[in-house]
Amino acid sequence: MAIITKSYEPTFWDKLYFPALFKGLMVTLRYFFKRKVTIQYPEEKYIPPDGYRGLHRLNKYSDGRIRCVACEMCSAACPVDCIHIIPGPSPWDEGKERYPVRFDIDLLRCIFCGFCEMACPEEAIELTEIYDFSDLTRENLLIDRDGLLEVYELTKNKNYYSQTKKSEKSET
Amino acid sequence: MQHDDVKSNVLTTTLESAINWGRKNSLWPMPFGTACCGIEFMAALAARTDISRFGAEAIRFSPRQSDLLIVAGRISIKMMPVLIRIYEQMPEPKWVISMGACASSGGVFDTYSVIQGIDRFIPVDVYIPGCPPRPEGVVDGLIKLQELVDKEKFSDYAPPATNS
Repeated sequence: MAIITKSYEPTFWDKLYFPALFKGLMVTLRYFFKRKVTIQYPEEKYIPPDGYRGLHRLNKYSDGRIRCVACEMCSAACPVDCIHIIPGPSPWDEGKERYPVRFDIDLLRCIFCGFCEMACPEEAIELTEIYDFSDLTRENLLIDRDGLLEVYELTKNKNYYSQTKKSEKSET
Repeated sequence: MQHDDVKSNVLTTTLESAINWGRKNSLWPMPFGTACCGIEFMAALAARTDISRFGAEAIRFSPRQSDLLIVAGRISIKMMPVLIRIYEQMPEPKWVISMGACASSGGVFDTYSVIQGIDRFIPVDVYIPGCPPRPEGVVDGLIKLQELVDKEKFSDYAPPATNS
């Protein structure tokens, strides 16, 4: 038969409870003076590292032509089939013959895996560092070609959050 | 009276904007985390992106005490009746955030057993894209929901007119 032995008899000091209470409050007080870890989000943005996979963009040449040639490699590589492209003849004289008439991405279906930018032979589609783009309706999260080009203008030369310069993309 | 005037003058504020102010700054979420988005939601609760700054830290695992349902993760066909039951158990001023690709559209799980978007069954107020979204994305969705709550009217909750 097991015998329960008390290894510790509380002393008068322990029975007061206040020393233990202040000991606990000292921990709170110590953290009060430590460095704060909270990022005050809407005012102060978290800056993602390079290579972060956020909102997509469609790159352009410096003369304004869209890099995309609507080869549909990205929509073939996409594991969730969220990219829908309708190709058409390019309106520009120089450069490639094809260009996307429609380029729709269902952002709610997208899992931001980055396969599309890996599959792209023209380095046209790219994932940017933008991470906060929630919305109230499903329709607003269907981004089309003009929306993707708008994202390109926002993130072309500078980081969207820190406003620091990015290295210029080489013209090919 | 203009809406901005109401906001700047506390004494002559309307009951509606006072109640909306209270509601939007005390959203009590009920997390329905079934996948990795649930883990990321816990990160949104933690110290770095502290959602208690927006009055939403009181996580209630009882639907009767909460007014914001955060669906985080894929919902299978067998789970959907449970989610609908939870939604119906929540008291009336209630909002739904669909967090992540799986809850919003099924994401990568385009199969017969996964619901292709919970808005086929329950109304969703804010969609947060991402797989999973960053904690900042969750906070951004919460701020958008607060703006939505701020614009609500009492007449939105009026019972529908009966044709009798």
